[in-house]
Amino acid sequence: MKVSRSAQVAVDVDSTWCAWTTASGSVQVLNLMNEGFEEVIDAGWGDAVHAGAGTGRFLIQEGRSLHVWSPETGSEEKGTVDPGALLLEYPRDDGTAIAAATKTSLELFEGAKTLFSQPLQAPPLLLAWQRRRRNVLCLLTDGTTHKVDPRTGRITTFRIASDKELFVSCYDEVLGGIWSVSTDSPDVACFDRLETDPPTRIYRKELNVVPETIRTSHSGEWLIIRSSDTRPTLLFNVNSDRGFDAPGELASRGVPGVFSYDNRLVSVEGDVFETLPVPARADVRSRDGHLPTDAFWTAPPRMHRAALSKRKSVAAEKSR
Amino acid sequence: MNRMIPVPHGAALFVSLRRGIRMSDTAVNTFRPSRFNVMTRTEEDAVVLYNSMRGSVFKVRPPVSERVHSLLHNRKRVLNRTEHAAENELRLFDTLVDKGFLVSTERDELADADELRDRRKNRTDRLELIIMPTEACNFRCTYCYEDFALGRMLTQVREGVKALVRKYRRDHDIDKLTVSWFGGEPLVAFDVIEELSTYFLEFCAEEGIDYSAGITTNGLLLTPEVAARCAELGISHYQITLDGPAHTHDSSRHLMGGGKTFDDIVANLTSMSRTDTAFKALIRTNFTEANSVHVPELIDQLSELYADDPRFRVIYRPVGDWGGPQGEDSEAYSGKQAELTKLDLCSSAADSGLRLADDVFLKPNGSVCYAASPWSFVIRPNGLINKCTVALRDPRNAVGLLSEDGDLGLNDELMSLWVDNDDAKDSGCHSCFFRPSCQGAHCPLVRIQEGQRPCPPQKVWIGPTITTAAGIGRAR
Repeated sequence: MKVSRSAQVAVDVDSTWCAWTTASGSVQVLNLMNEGFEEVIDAGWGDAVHAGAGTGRFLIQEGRSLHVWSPETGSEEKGTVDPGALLLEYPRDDGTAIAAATKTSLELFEGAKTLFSQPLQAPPLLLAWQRRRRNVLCLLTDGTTHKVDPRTGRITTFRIASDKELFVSCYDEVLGGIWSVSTDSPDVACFDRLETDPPTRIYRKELNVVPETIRTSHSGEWLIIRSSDTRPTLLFNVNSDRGFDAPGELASRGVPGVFSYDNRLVSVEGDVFETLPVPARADVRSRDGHLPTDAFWTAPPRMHRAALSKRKSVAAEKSR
Repeated sequence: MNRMIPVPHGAALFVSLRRGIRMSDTAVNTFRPSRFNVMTRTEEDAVVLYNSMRGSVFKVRPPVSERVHSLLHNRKRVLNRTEHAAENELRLFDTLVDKGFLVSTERDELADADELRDRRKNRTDRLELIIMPTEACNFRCTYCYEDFALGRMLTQVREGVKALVRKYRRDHDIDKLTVSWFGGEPLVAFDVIEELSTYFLEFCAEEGIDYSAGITTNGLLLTPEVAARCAELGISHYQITLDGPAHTHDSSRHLMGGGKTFDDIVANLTSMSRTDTAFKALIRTNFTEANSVHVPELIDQLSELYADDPRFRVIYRPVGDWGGPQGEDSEAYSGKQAELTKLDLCSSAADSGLRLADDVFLKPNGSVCYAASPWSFVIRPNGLINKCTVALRDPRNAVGLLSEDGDLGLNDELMSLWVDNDDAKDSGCHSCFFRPSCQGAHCPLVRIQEGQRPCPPQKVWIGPTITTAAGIGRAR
């Protein structure tokens, strides 16, 4: 399996630490809590990073080798997995365990002990930890979705609506479902709520670009869409149905990015990073379709400041 | 937007104070009308009586209403019990004494009100936490003031909350812990609720602390499985908002991105009603001038579903200007007409067999904001300690920062803005008939931000309020 582009960057469970891989094969880590005093930490070699089950904790793959990195303990060996496997670490009552989705199977294991195994009939596209339901979710490219309760080993399987192959996807904990894009409408992101029975498709959002990766902000308000290495990162606002090209030197080149706990877009490349405060909420400001983009980007991530800017601009308009 | 309604705490104080009044007042013969009385006439020549120290409302019909009016209408009049020797008159007189409408001339009612306030403020036996497990929300209500900037509660903050409870027990010997889950939408971070609730339940059981919990939720994620788990976690009070029937609700309380929510919420509530779990569910309706005409349709619907279930109660609130980004687009509805509409909706609901939850606001302490009590704190997902759940971006509301060892890091000056800004410093509030209920602390935020006395609407419109309350009492 090829290493997924989505595994180039990850945030931890709190969105307070960020880790990414570099072209030279190293992994860099950044503590996002120290705003203004951030320091990039070298976390060793690796070609893929995934969220671990604790603050500042990441799973790092290098070829077949898997280890866990955390700021307290540094690097710890965790065995081997197929290169390019989708991975996550999840909490258990007495520690943590790892979920891995390879071309052929979904496995949950702790050390050398396999806790659960399920053959997969199509390549996996997404592996996610559904925090509030304590389930592992595994979406396959054919739309098949496995939901596994690690406490009981119970597996529930369903399909999200798609006639064609899915090629990018991400899980959103706030709305409680999966965003995905399929080859039949490659510039449309669809959202399926998983907490209804059966899962229900509630949104089709026109992105106007064909994404190569897609991920959500922790608030669910934004999708971070990378479409190619040269195009700017697109921030798509779920609530107002509008997309914005992100400014900034790195983001405008479309490098990998994530959202921090306090709503900053963190773009990373090599051993440098860039943070951009993003308004946490944009519905009110943009609902009349006349969002002043400058005020939008220069405002701190608070909705009312930008709304005031809007009102001022409306007042200025009226006075002309 | 769901404004926070804390678990009421007025009742216990009220009972002990009432006993004190009764014992001393039976030993004297001269009385006067209580300064905390309100009396209003109805169209049918009845009078409705209210006393804010007792929190009680009575309707007295003719011909007794005339005699009551004559005894109570002049607050300065001294009445001698021996002058009302006829059996009927004496019985009426003693009833008015017993119910607190007549008090001994020796009684210092202002001192009683001081005592009521001080007992609330100085109690150290309880801790009330309003915890925001996340500020993220799956809804985008049109009138909401929150900006959802902070996501799920950080790991270190969760550890700080646990340490805080241990520390409060150690330092203050609390015997009551009340937790109100708020957000954002708290059920979005249900894993945080599970983790902290499990800790609270175990710790309180070990230490013999009385624990109770409630949640303000939009109800979408309150599936039967989640509701059952909430019961296991000690969550027994719910506030859920339905803004009218489906077409009205779905236009003001939709999912982020616009999806409908009404049917799923009602299905969840109905599933709860089919269980035998003990809970109290408060269904709140926020209305605007435009949509209030549709609320009776919701009342009919809820009446069919829950009129026979005493676990469900309803309240109605005009949409306020809660400080959101809407500015001139705000749908805020205030003033007399808004209040009268609210009372009309209350009467309609009562006539339809629904139970109202507004009576608490007429009780002693009942209109005091949680933010005015020194033992109540809002804990944000990043550890910021606030007093108020509305002014989330006002720096004066950031009274502390929780550390991992449970220290609140309180700023005494900022705390004082919230907890000492009451009837003790306001001469108008000091002499107000409504003082035992609100103590000048109905909304410390209004005093802080606008420098104005925050009179609650139930006081401003006390005549229609108590007339409606009396009518609802009769209907039930």
